[in-house]
Amino acid sequence: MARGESNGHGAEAQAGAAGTERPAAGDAARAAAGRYLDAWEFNQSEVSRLGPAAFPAVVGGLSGR
Amino acid sequence: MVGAPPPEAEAASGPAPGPAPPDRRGLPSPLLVHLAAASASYGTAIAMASAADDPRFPWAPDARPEGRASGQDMRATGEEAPFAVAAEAARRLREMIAGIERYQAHPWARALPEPPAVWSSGSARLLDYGAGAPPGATAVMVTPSLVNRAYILDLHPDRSLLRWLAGQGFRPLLLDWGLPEREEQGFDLSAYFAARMLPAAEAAAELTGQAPAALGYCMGGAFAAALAARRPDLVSRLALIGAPWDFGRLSGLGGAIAALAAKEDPATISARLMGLGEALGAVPVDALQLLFAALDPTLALRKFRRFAALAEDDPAVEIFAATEDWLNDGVTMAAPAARDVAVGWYMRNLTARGEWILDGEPVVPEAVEAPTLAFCSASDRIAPPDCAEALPRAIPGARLRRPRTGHVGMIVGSSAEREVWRPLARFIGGE
Repeated sequence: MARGESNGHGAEAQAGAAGTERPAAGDAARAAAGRYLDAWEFNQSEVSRLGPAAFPAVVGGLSGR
Repeated sequence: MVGAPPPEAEAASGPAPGPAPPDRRGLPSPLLVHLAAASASYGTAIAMASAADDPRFPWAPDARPEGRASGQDMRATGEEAPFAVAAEAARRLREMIAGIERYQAHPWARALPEPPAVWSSGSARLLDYGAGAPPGATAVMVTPSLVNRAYILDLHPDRSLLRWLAGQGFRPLLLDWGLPEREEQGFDLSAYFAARMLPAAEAAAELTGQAPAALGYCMGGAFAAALAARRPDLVSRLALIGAPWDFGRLSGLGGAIAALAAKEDPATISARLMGLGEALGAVPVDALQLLFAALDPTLALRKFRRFAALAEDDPAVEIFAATEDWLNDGVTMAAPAARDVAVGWYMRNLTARGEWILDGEPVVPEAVEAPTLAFCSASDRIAPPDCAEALPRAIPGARLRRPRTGHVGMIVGSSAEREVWRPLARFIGGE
């Protein structure tokens, strides 16, 4: 996902998409979870773009040719 | 009229049916890898959610502020947070699957008429997209990659670089490598250059009475640069789009994979690829699809979620289906050519070291005399910017443009015409 690209996954959107499912958590928790996963997906894209060398605290040396 | 259907039957039959869409069961390839990568990504996200605001959390620099803020928000919601993340992740996975199912059921079927072939040799053909061009129209020979179908350059009536160039008054001639048949199965890159590209370029020059411009896309760019360096009489101008060159300057996961591969024994890799060729006739498509998927493992998750959300009447829906069909319509690769790419390019970086031998001589980009324009995108995962920009940097006087779109997007993306096609046309036209 491009940076800053919104999924529109606030509590309302999620409740609508969930259909008949019972909400698993409150609106605030769902909204926070949506923002976290938005950031997570962008982060995964950045990991592939930058490679593990950009995250020395996690993985190091893979790109050290 | 004898044999003619009665009027009722004619009316009922309606217009002749168009071509059927391809069988997309099991797509996008490799489907299981895409699904597993998405599930694993979200599984890790759920497991790490409680640490999202921890300074040690591995957020990339640009994702860090939003990521940490979301972690603080989740912490404020207490024990509900991990359940909310799990529910949201499950919902997003269902969105991805809905996008995949929408793609699989899409009615798009590519049915563009194929232009006449003005030259052929083995599986390779030179397709004349400007057969109706006025005499003296500037010709441009377009060379795509060996690892994908050539029709990405003529994907869709609304997204065809070749037909667009013809509409601008040029005479595009596409070198379609074709699938490696019996003769090409023994081809290395040098054979492709000497026995296919050179004769095609000579035929293009003879046909048009001029030295055409040469446009190379992806690894076709390396071939086009080689042609310009070796045969300046056949290339008036050189344009490169997403052409990889310096494999010591790959970045991202592609760089990591190449770094790991570089620790292998080249002879072993070479033997494995040649063994595949002996067993199967060529290196299978699946091997390349796996490699492409590894470059950005959650790309399918992101793009199929976006696809699921597109409105039915959004023109991007059909372009998406057309592009996915092309991505999944890969080609087998002659084993010696695959060996040259894997070992010669990715492991030994022969291109940037000036040791890439074609037809008995090294390819020297510094020898290119033709005016050159290169398009290198910052978001290109196949030919990352440092890797691709090395080629125009080595060509005297070459100009560089950095389109704001990706490797495939430079050819068929929504901004391709603005970012690439128009500047390209101005360049070919002599600007």
